[in-house]
Amino acid sequence: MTNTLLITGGASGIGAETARRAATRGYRIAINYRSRDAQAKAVVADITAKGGQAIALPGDMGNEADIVRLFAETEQALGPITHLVNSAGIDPSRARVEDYDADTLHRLFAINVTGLMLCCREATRRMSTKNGGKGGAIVNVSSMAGTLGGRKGASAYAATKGAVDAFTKGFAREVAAEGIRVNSIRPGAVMTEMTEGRLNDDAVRTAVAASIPIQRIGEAHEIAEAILWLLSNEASFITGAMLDASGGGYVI
Amino acid sequence: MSSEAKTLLITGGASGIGAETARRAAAHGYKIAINYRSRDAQAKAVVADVTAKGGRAIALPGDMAKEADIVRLFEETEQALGPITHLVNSAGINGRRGRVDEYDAAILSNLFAVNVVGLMLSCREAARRMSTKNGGKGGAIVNVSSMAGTLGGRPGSSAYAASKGAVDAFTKGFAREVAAEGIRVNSLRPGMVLTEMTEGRLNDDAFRASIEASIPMGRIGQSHEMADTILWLLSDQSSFITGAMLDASGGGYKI
Repeated sequence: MTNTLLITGGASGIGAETARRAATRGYRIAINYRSRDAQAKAVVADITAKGGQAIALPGDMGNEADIVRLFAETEQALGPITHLVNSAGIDPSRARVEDYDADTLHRLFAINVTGLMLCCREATRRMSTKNGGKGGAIVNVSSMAGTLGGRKGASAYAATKGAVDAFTKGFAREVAAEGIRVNSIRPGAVMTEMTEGRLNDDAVRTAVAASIPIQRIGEAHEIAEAILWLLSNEASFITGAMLDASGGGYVI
Repeated sequence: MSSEAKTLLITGGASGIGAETARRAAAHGYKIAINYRSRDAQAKAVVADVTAKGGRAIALPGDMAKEADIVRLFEETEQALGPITHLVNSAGINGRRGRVDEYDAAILSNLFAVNVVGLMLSCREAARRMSTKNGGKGGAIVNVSSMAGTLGGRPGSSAYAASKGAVDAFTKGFAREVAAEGIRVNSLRPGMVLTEMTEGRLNDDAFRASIEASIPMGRIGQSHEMADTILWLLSDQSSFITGAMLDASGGGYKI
């Protein structure tokens, strides 16, 4: 069957690496992005240069209309969506709770949680056998912060990922008998554009690496492989699972 | 880990998840040692299946409740197949199902001897060989746990559930301990899967229907679905995954 994979936040980091690797496994790929226009097109170019099929679609995951349009445009261009990776997410500037700004918190939850849930709504309307679909598989990109609590100043980010995990468990049960598998992956510290601002500081990177049992920071391709495996039929009995990809967690 | 000379030891490899893992591992280039306690003919049948397809496998008897058997199992595996690079702790028993007010001390002791202490000693033997601290080249280990370890068991399975809760807690600590020594350790938590351990109950149609109704996916799992998961966790594709508990359960279950 023809697999069509939509990746939100696919222009950089884990999403982009997932797109590149998915192309070699026969997926047609829609790469959503918000602001990284040139990068999204570069990922598409990488894929098409190797004979794959990919498109780049702009859209803000904090905006419902953008999400609805994203799914419609993906289907028009590539056919029925069979796989979804919710990789879009933001990690705003770190702050102690006493310094929280309400607008920043609202924006954080709009993208990391509500936007992800609306993407799952759109996917279910199309994939569920109850709705005439042929099933599918979804991976939500969560974080170890969701289960361990975040590093210093990242409690709000951690809260969004805790919400993603709880949603994933309930959603997975809801659609398990309708042909859709849903899992979340919880990366530990991984070098991406979201984290490189902090991790490029040698002292920070050394401290972070020292806090991880495996003594190193993860690479985006290691997370991409885990996502692609969860999407694959080899994971056919796995739904509602949270997979930690963290080098053993971390000591805070 | 390079693709050459991978040696995989599977405890409880004569049936169920262990046997299916052995059969599929052969196609991934592993040399395989299949441990068994009582299923002599079945273990040899798995070896025959593997060798018929051009793979290399041996069957080694040993009771996971006995330290001397475990130590000997590792030595014999190394003598026959070279350094052990991968380990799947699949040996496990249900113990007698029953309410807590009916517990028998000897049955509980044996349950924990096999499912927990035996598994921990198997990890000890592996760490002594695999750890870069001990001159080894690293490796990967998967402990076969159960969803019972996190959800608690179905009625009458609290003791079994406790043994799997112990496996999970041990796995997390052990994984951290050896993460910087080249060894990855994860546990797999299968939900209800059709194996020799479960088929006695699952062959009862009414029981089976009630079990299926309790699983969100609406069906019981197959051994090969667990085997594929184990082999992925052993592979280099999961290079940043250690100390993880992976639920393979069709969505858990309602009790």
